[in-house]
Amino acid sequence: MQAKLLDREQIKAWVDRLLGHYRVTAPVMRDGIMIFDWLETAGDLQLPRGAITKVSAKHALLSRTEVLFYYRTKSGRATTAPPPPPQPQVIFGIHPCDVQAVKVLDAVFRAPPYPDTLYLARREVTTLVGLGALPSEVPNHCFFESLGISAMDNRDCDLFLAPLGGDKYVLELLTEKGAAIAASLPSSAEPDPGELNTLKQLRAEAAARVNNCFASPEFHAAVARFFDSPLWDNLAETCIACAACTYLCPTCHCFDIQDETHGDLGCRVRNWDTCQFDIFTLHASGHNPRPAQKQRARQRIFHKFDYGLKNFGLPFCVGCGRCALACPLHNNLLTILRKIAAEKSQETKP
Amino acid sequence: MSGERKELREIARHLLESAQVEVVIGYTAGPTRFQAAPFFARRPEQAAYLIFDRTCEFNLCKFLHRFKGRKVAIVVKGCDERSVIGLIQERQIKREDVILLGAPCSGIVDPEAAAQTDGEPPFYSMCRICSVHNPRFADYLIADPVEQPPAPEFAPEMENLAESSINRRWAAFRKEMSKCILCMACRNLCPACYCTVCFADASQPKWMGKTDDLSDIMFFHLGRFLHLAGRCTGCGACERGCPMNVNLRLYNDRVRKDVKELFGFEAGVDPQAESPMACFRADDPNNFIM
Amino acid sequence: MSVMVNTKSTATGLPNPYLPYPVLIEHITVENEAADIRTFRLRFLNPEDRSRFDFRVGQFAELSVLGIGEAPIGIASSPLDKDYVEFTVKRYPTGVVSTALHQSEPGQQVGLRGPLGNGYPLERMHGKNIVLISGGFAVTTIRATIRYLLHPSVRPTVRNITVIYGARSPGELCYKKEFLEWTHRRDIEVHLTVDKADAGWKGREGFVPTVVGEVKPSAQNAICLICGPPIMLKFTIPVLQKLGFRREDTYLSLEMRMKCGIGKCGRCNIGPKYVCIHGPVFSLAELEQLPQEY
Repeated sequence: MQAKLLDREQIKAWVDRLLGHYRVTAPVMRDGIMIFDWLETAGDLQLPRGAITKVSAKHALLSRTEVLFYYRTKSGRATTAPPPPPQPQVIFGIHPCDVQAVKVLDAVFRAPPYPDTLYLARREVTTLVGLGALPSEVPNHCFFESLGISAMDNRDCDLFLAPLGGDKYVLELLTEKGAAIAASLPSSAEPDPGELNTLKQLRAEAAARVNNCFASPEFHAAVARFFDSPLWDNLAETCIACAACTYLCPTCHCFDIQDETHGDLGCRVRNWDTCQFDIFTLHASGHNPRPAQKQRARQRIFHKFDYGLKNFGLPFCVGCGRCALACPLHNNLLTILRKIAAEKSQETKP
Repeated sequence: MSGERKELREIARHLLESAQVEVVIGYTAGPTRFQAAPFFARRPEQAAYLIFDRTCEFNLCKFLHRFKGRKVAIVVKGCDERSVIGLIQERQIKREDVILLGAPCSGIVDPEAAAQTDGEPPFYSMCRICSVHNPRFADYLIADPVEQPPAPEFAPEMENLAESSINRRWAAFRKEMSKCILCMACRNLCPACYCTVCFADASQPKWMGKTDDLSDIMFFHLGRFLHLAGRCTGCGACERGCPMNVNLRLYNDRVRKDVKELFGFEAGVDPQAESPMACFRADDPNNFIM
Repeated sequence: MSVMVNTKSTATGLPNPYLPYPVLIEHITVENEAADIRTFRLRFLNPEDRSRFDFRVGQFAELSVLGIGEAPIGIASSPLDKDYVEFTVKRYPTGVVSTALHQSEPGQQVGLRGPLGNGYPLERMHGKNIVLISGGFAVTTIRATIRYLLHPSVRPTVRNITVIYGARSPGELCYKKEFLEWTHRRDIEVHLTVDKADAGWKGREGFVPTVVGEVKPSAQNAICLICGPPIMLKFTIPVLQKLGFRREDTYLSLEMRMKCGIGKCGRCNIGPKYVCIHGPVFSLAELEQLPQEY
C-alpha cells in the first residue's frame, strides 16, 4: 500500500488544489464550535485532535434538504424534471467512527428491493479521506472502541490520514478513488521505516483498546430482552424529545417528504426528520403507534442496537458520543448501554 | 421575598413523607463531572439523590406541564423561577400546587467550554450578566443567598445590535439563522412553548416548510419570537440547548425589551401582573400598527 | 404538452424511486352515503408504465397530488384489469392528500408510485380454501383479491372462497353493486352484514366477528385474509382461533403512516420490520413476534 508523509502545511496545500476541482467538506470552526462544512478556503481546514465535530459529515451524503424532483403544474396536468446530478465531492478529515456511520447509510440506502439512486449517485462521486486519532487523544465521551472501531481504523476509507504526533501524518492510499484525488498531492516524501514503525505501534495501541462490548451477539441478545424493561419509563421521564441527538447523529437517516410549491413550480423534497417527535408516526385517523415518549425513546435505542443488527448485521451506532454531549438533560447513551450490559452479566451468574 | 432556609434533602424528604407533594423535581449527579441530570424523587428515601450545584443547568419548569393540577415541589434557580411565575401568569399552573425550592445560584458551568480548558471551569456567558441570582418567591431556600452584582436588564450584545444600521442587523440575523438545522430543540426545551400543535408542524394550513432554505428557518424563528412576545422570561434554556450555538437570546431579549417599553410588562416577574397578550386596555400603544 | 418519461431520470441512468408515474383520473365513483369514500379509476399517461406497474393483490402504491403530497393507498383493482388501476380513498379531515384527491375531477393528472409492499401470499393460497374477512373501508385490497380470484384463469387454482364483509350501515358498504352480484354467483360464498340495518336493508344484521362465528368457515386446508379496523380485528381473531385457524395461516394487512414507501425513511417500522417493504401483509404468527406498536 502506498503511503506519503505529510505535515499540516502540505495537507492544506493539497486541499487547496482539491478545491479547484471538487467540493470539499471538512471540519471547520464556526462561531466557536467545530462542524463539518463546505470549505471555502483550505485555510479554514481543521484537523481536530482530542475533539470531534458537533455535527457529522452526514450532510454531504444525505443533505438536510434534498430535491427528489421538480414539478410544474398547470390546468390539472403536470410535468416533472430530475434534480441536477451531484458534483464530485470529498469528505475530508472524517474520523473512523463517522466512516463506519457512512457504511450504515450505504447499507440502508443501497438495500433492495428499492436502492435509493439519489443517494447512490452522490455516494459514487464522494471520496472519503479518513482522519485517525492518537489513542491518547480519544475524547472521553466517545465509545466507538466498544463497538469494534479503532481510533486508527482505516477500513472503508479511500485515503487515510494517520497522525503520528506533532505535525506529522502518514497518508495511506487505499483505493482507486483515493488515488485519483491523491494525484493532486504536492510532492512529498514517503514515510521512513521509523515513521512506519511508529504508525504500526500506534495502530496496535489503538487496536488494543477495542472490544466488542456493545456489538457482540450476547449484547444484542441482552438488548432484545430489554424491550419491556422499566428502564424505558425512566429514560422517557428525562427525555423531552428535543431531537438534538438525532440531528447530530451520524447514522440517523430518517426523513420527511414534502412538496414545496411557489405558483405553478415546485419540488418534492426530503428533509431530515426525527423519530422523537410525536407527529412522526401519527396517522391521519389520529391513531399513533408510538404515542408516548417511552415508546419513542425506546425506538431510537432499539433501531440502533437491535433492528439495525437484525436487518443489516450492523449496529446503527458508531459510538461518537455526540448525542451525550448535545443532550440538554444529559441523558447519556453510554449509561443506558452499560445498564443493559450489567443486566446481561447478572443473568449469566449462577 | 423567599422563605426560610432549609437543606435540600431534608426538606424534600419531609415534603414527600408528609405527602404534601407527590414528587420533588430536582437534579441528581449526571453522567459527567459538569452535567447534572434531572431527577424525580417520588419516595422519601429518593430525596438522598438530590443535589444542587453549579452543574444544574436544565430549566426543570419544562416538566411542570406533565403535573398540571397535581402537587409538586420543584428546585428552581432564579432564572427558572421566572418560568414558573410565567406559567402562573398564563394560568397553566396554580401557585398553590407548586412548592418552590429556591436555589441561589452564582452561575452554571458550561460543560463544553469546561472540556476545553484546564483551569477554572467557565460559566455560561449569560450567567455572567444574570440579574436574578437569588429566587424571590421561593417557599424554601436550599442554599444561602448569593451576591447579586449589578447586572444589565437585557443582553448588552442585543442593545448594541439594536443601535446599528438595518443592513448590519439583517446581516447578523441571516448569519445566526444560517447556523440553524431546524432540530427544534429550542422550542422543545422552552417552558413557554406548550401548544399541542405547534405552528411549525401544522399541515392544514401548512404555514411553513422545514427545508434548509433560510426563508424556512427564518420563518420558524420569527414565528417563535413573536409567539413568545410577552411570554418569554429570558431563562436562556433555548440558547444553552441549541446544538449549533445560535444566538437566540439576542432576539428574544429584543422582544422582551419591546414588550417592557410598550406595555410595561415583563413575563415571570410579578405573579399578579396581567399579560398584555391576555388583556386589552384603551391606552395600549398602537404606534407600531401601520 | 410534454410529459417527461419517468425512468432514467438521474445521472446514474437508474430510475428515481421517488418519481411517480403520471396517471389521469378517468372516473370517480362515490362509494358510500357519507360520500367520504371515493374510488378513483386511473389510466397511465404512458401505456408502457402500466406494464411496469406490475402488481400483486395486497400491494399498495403512493398516490401523489403534486404540490400537496403523497399517501399510501391499497390497490383496489385486480392485476388482470389491464386498462386501468383503481384506488379507493377515504377522506380524513386531517389528511391533506385525501382531501385534495376528493376535491379533484376526472381528467386531472395525479401521480402513482409503486407497486409497493409484499402483497397477499398467493403462493400459499394455491389449492386452499380462501376465507376473506373485512370491515368498513378496509375492504379495498380484499375486493381486489376477490376480483382476481374470480378471474377464469385464477379461479381453478383455489378451492372454496368464503367472504364475510360488514359495514356500520348499508350506506357505508363499498362496492355494493359488485358484492351484490357476487352473492348470486355459485363459485363464491358471500356474506354481507351491517352493524345496524335501515328500513331498506333485507340482508343480515350483526357485527363482523359475530357473523364469522355464525358462518363458521372451515379452517380445514384454509388461508384467511382479514382486513379491518383495529376493533374488528380484536374481536374477530379470537373467533377464528376458536374455529381452528392457525396463526401462520391468518394474514392481516396493516396501515401505517408512510412517506418513502421503500424502506428508507425509517417511519413505518414495527420493530425490525418495515410495513412498506416487509408488509403491509403479515401473518398473525409474524405479528406476535413483533413489538405491539402498530
